Amino acid sequence: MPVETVLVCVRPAEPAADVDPLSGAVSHRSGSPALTDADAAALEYGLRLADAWSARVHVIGIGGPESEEALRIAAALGAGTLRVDAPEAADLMADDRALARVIASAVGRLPYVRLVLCGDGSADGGTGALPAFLAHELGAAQALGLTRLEVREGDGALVGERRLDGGRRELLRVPPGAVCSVEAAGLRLRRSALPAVLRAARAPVESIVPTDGQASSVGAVSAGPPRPGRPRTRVVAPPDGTAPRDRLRALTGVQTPHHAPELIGPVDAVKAADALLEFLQERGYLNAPARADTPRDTPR
Amino acid sequence: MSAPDPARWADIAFEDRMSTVEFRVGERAHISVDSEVCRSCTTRACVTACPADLFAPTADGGILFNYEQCFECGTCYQVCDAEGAITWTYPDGGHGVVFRHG
Repeated sequence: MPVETVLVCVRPAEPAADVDPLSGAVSHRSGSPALTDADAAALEYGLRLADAWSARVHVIGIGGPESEEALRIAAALGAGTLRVDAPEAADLMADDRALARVIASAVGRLPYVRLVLCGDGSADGGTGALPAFLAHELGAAQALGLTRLEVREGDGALVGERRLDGGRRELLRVPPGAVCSVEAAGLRLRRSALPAVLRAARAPVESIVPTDGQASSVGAVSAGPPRPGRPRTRVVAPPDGTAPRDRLRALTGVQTPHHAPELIGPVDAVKAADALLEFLQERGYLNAPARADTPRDTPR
Repeated sequence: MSAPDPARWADIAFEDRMSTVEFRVGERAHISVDSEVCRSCTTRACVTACPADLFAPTADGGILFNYEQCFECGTCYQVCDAEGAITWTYPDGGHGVVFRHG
């Protein structure tokens, strides 16, 4: 009987952060789980289904070396591991389509994949779109947002349950090779034995590096070079007058009395100061009475 | 003398307006201003009307003018009241303002 694989895709969880309300200092809480609840549920479902099918679980983790902790948890539970090397700052982490392409390329290295499982959300800003993109890349059926997934007694069919509006549920019959995402609903990841944990802590984790062609999506939104801002056209009321010249004069404000900025230089500093004082006196600024009630140096 | 209407160009900054165009400056000035005629001008309509703000009155009664950032709209020529004060032609071929659309 050929070996079958249940593939589980996990993304690293961000460490929980504590913020001091007085100082604003941020510290990472120790002991935060390496797997998100949804990824842990996907792994637990994968282990249960693998037991039912006598299959092997393989976990693909996405992220930098810091994501290996999640893979070691899976390895301690008997799963095979593979890491897609995507540093947290890389564009790949924000591009679910490109990420799905990389994972799909890794699927070909595994024995027959009977089911692909993902969490329905991730803590790294993922939108839950990865399983849908993955199903597209693999040409597989998809069943997303499941709250339950189990092998039905009797006919042995794989059945998933999903919420609907109004508190209703629907049952989905999941075909072989499908991609499923599960919610973290009423399921806890089993604990592994201490010897297995110690073994997994020392075991190397295989990683693959995306090629240039895989690391970006065709047609993704991109920004062009910066351009100067273009203000909207200002709507101006039609000017008075019948002759073009009169209309132009009205439109440009020539007929409105005003004082245009005037060049007084180049002159030396004394003459410039005199010109400035004369300007202020003409407009009454220097003749204004001093406001004794609010001297500038008086504190408020 | 009243202050200029603050709402007249309030919605478009001058720098924003100038940033939407490109100027290929020719060596020959396509506009010339006769400062002797301008000294007797009292309205100085060109200073107010030029959308590129290229005219500046001087303390001695003359007018300073830059042609490098001219929009070639001809407004200064149209509104000028003094005969012979402004001479206006288009720039030489391949030079002048380029309005960038889109």
